[in-house]
Amino acid sequence: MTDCYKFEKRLSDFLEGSLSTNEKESFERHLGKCAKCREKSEQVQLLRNTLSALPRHKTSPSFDAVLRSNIRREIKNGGSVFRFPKINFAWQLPVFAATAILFIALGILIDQAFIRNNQLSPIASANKIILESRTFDTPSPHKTFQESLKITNYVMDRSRSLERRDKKREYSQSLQVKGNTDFHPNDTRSFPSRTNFRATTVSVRF
Amino acid sequence: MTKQPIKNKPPTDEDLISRFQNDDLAAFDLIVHRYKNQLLNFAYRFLGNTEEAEDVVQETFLRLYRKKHAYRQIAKFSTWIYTITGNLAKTELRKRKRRKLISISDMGFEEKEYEIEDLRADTARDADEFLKEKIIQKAIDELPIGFKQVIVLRDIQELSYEEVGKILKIPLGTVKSRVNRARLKLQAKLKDIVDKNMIRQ
Repeated sequence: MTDCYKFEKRLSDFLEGSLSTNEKESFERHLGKCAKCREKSEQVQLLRNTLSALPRHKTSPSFDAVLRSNIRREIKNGGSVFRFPKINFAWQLPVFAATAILFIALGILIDQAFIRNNQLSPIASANKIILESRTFDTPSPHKTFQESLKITNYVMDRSRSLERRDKKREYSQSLQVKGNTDFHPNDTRSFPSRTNFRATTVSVRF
Repeated sequence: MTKQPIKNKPPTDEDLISRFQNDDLAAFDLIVHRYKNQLLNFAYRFLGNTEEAEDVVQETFLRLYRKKHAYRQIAKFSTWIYTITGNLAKTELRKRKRRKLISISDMGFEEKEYEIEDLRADTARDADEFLKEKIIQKAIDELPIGFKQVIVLRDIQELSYEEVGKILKIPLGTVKSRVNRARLKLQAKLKDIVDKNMIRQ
């Protein structure tokens, strides 16, 4: 027995002729009785025909010239992308990693400050503090990866000196990172030509 | 007569990429020539914007140029290159969403003059036809990404279910049910048009 739900679920199989003989007969019986499914079936079939007959869009006349110039630039850059293949698709990863490390490092910094003073530090009583304000820029697409590493190292340097920490103290903080990525106007959109982000505020609550 | 077809047989995609991997740049040109329009059409139907589609296809070929050795003979070349274009187009769509969040001036849909090939060369492309295409494209644009991907690959690019599954890295059963649901969604959106004169030919 075919009902409307079953019919709809396997409508494409029916239209593309991939049902078994029994199923097909059952579907056809249902079509004979159900005007709604008959209409839907006709419409989906018409839709398929229409989609396959849609005009085919072509590349613009300048496509080949643009591609050649892009490739020339690629060669001119000395194949630097070959040395850092991951830069093409994973440039965001180091930035996110750096942000994550920044989070942890800030936690350690704040914690250490409290331990050293053995009391609540003045900054802890404030709900909102300015902890860091620095902008990281990357001037060229090929430097993005190195710049991201630089950011990571910057954060690591600041957390390295703080070895001991008291895990009993509970703290929470939030870091507001303002990011901005620009793209070279003549380049394809996947390469950031300039990336900067700024760490601005940290909220501390006890 | 029997030998000639073998001799003149055009090289397969896999032959071409293998030649390009051995630094034959003419093979790269042939690949570009063979794929640029179908990938453009795919990207355009997915993004609904010609400029973005062209950028995506440019980037696809640049990646092919850069990472020719990433291709392995185990996969069909067409699947591989469609996957690259598909991923880039998806990224473009996400970027667009982000841009829209930032800038309201970006909301306008820019129309650009564009060369469009009509498969039925004898028929004049009249206003009705143009409007029909616009309405259908808008309905495709409004589909969720997952549905859009399958409907464009299956019903517009007319690839097999198997190939669609490989490109999107989803099981065959999922592709089939997703295509069916995408068709029903699109049919519901275009119901009024289908009912009247738009689709009936």
